[in-house]
Amino acid sequence: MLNRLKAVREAKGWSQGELARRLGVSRQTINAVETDKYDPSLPLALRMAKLFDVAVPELFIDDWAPQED
Amino acid sequence: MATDEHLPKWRDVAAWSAVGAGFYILVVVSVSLLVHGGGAGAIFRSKMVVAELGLALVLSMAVAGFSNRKRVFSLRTFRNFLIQNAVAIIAFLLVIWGFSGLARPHAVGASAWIAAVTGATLVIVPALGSLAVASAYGGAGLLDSDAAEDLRERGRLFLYSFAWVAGCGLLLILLALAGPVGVLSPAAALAGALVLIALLVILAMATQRLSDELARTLSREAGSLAFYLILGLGGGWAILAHLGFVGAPAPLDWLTLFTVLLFVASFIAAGRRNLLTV
Repeated sequence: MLNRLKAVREAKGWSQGELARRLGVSRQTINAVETDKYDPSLPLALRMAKLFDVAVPELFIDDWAPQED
Repeated sequence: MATDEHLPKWRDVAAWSAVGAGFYILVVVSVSLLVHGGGAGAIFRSKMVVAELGLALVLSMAVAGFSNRKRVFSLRTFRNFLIQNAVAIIAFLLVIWGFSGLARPHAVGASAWIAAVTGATLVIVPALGSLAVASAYGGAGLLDSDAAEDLRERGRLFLYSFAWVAGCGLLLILLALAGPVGVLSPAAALAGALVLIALLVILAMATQRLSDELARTLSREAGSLAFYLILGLGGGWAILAHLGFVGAPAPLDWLTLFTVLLFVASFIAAGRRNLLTV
């Protein structure tokens, strides 16, 4: 799933390690999310959104749209 | 948008392939000098051997180029490559040489020999990994900065994981040494195995506690994949043995198979997510 994590992290001036420390995960996890190798769990996505003060759909982009009846 | 900032550069791939070729030639010449004493020419007399060595050369170039494709080629990374690979090759040669001398396959049985060599490999790999962690903490500069940062950040997790892998290896060695013609009595081997299993459980729990959600996800995926690999390979072997096409697997073969496939599954799980290189 595409995401804007790297952009919002860099806007804050944080390194991957700094963000990992704030979220309580490893730097590898942050790197994997930023490079689309791993989709975070819902609790981690919510924590990321809360940390950057944005909504989850602003951070993670999904092209899916509901079918119209 | 997410982007990959470590895109491979073909110049680096070509440079690492050339390093792989040079390193391979150096190892072949050194080994042939050690084995034959008289010089490397002796092993090049057979066309078959030359063809096999040539194929292995191409393979080593491909492996070195591909596995280092996102690593910038510089004097520092080149030096690290040489040191890491030289240590690994010497360690593996020592293990193979040791087991070839101490326990020849025909003397202890193929199952016990394969289990012992597999176990020794599982001991030596985490030992090398522990050296890498020590290097990251000691600031020896033998690792690239990202790898060193990861090892420092999660040193305890890596050490527990390495100890777990080494424990699996020791368990295989212990059981291999306690076969029908082994040097250990079954009772002593059972006692040792129970102690090792208890240690493995404690280490697994400690590792699980230190893991974050990505590591736990990979662990779950590896477990699931290992089940299907064991079902496919072990089940296939059992079917063929039942029908009389091949010999039936010995109990020690099953244990070696379980262990090897667990690690193969871990590599596949990480590789599927493109996480073997960070």
